Amino acid sequence: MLPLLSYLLPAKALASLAQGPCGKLSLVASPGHPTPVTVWDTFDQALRRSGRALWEDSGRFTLLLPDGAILAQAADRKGNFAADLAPGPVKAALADLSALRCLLPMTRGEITETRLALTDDLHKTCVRAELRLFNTETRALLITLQGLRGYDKALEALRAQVLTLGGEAPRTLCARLVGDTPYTSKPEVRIEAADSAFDAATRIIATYLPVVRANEPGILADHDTEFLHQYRIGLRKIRLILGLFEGVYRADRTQDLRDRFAKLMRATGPLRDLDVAILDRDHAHAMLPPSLHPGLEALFAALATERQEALRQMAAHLQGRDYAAEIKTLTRLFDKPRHLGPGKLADVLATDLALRLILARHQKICQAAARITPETPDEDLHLIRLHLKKLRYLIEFFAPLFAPVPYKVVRKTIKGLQDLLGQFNDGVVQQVSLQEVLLRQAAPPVAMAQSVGALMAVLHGCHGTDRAAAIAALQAFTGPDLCTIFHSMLPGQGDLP
Amino acid sequence: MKILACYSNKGGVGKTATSVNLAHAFATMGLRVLLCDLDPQGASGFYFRVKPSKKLTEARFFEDVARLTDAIRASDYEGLDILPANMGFRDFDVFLSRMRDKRSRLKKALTAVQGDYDLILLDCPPNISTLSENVFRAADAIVVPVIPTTLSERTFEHLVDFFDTHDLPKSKLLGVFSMVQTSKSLHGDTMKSLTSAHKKRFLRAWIPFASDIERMGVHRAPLLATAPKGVASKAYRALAAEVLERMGLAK
Repeated sequence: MLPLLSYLLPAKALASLAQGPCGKLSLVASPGHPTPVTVWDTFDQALRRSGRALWEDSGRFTLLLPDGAILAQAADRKGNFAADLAPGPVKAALADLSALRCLLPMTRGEITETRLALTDDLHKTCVRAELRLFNTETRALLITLQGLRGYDKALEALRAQVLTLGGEAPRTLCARLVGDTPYTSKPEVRIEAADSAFDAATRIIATYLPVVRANEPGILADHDTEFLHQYRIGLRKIRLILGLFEGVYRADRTQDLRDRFAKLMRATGPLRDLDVAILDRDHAHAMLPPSLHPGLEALFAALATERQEALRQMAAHLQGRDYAAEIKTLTRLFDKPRHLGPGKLADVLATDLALRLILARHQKICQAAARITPETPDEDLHLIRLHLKKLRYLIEFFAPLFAPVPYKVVRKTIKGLQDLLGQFNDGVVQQVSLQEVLLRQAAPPVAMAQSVGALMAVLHGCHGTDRAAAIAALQAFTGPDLCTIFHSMLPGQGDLP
Repeated sequence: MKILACYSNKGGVGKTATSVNLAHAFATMGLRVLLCDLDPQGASGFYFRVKPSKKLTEARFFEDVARLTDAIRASDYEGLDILPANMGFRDFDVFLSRMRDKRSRLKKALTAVQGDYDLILLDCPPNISTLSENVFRAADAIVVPVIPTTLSERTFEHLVDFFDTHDLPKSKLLGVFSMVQTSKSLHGDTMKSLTSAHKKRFLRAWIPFASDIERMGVHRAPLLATAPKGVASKAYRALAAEVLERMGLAK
């Protein structure tokens, strides 16, 4: 493994480093002045998780990579998505970030940079270093070593001194600067073998309610569309548990909760539908010739206007008294579940129930897949997609139960299959929604009508191909090879052929 | 990668000052530069505070790629590295005479680092020797500092004759007037006559006689670092730009 280029040091090491000589070399320090700094990351803290840290100071972005390498570029940008940054090394190194997630300021504070040079008896610089003292939530000291060609020994002498002073890998810089436990859309829910279905269901829901709530500020600020998407996924997982674990809570309570969560979900529908349509903008442009792009622009301008209204309504809903009271009540209910009222399956072992549900769902998918013919309606394929979604969430909730290797294969396969079925279903839904957009316009421009017509024709043309690809993948998933892997994933089934 | 030499058969014409300041100016223009000190006096290395190479002895410069690359030292300036000389370099001709392809060994040796640099600048010792012939063949261009006096004029004529006699391309020669004192009519007259006699050989830029240049030995740093606004610094910047243009490296 190559030696690191940067190290995190205890803040108190600053004095020792800036004063002491390093072997036969003298140290020359050129301290800078404290300047304001902002630490950036996506809401799901993709940079922190990958061991990177991004900060902005003095009109430039600086990115620390896990190996300690430092990249920098001017902070010019037209928005806060990684793709909005001006071309440069930082933008290139952020290319792996989700295009749907914007960068957000995680914390602010000050940074003081000190340049260090170790010089020999001729006052020739033999190695350089950059010390960065961050003063945000906490103080953190980062040293970046810069070796010079032909002076390897000097570099190693400085590295040795840094390690003596407590230097460690810089992967945790972002965590130190930001503090707090990072947000995750998939929190770990610990389910023990002895847990009852009641306890497990309650714990899952109690874990996902904060995930739902954590996304509310981002929806209101309209940072990016993922806040609403993750808010909906959180609600969907809660509704899935309420639906599948029927009998765990009292019947009337279950129905009441299902209705209440369904109502919360319904409020998100219009905005999410418009988000999905607008996110398809580049794809739509790619599908049509440039002569039809002006009509598409008019279409997306109309969608953007509709979205503003949908966002306003969503914000009013989230900021309303009813919502505040409802979400507070629901949170309290699952934090202190004694009022939930156990149902007839409350005491069943959670893992037993989950296994039963997983097997039943898998069987249902296999049976539905076996019935598919060229005449099978599109709606039936959509239903299979929903089964797959439920199956995936279930195996994800109970992931620790399963043999890791087949679990990964099964999960990945389901995800890929869901994507294909999703693409197929989106094409079907899009044709309908495009027609609806046109109908909603008082007097749609001719160009818009032409482009919508062309888009619908292209989507219709893709229908057969997308459907065939989805069915082929579905049949592979329910075929003998993947069924064997699926069963080998289940506890006690490892010896199955 | 291109190779530029700074050469004159005459000593004391400002070869090393020109090499050091040109190399630094090129680096400030964004080029990756290696200044290769071929003069055993090691003055280029001295100006950059780089100690003489201890391990690059005898024929190793030409035969041992690893030793050659290991001897390179980063300067204190971004983009500029130094290959320092040592007293052993005075025997280069002896080693070259024993080698096959003795007139192209320098170019072969320098190919070891061609991926690392955009430009290698050779600071040459003041003689005409087998090493000089290597320089003439390896270099894409040769900057020849000429003090506008009679003796320097004669030296330049000798160099042109040598190129004629040995069938070397004279287009490589880029004469530059050095240590020019505009108050001296001799300097003005010599510049006119030489420029007229060798129309394409002399560059427009010229280097004045300046105390800043003499003080480089005190500061042990290139002029653009210590006196960036001085007349001499401006002259070296202009010279660097013109040389890059002539070598087709101008951006």
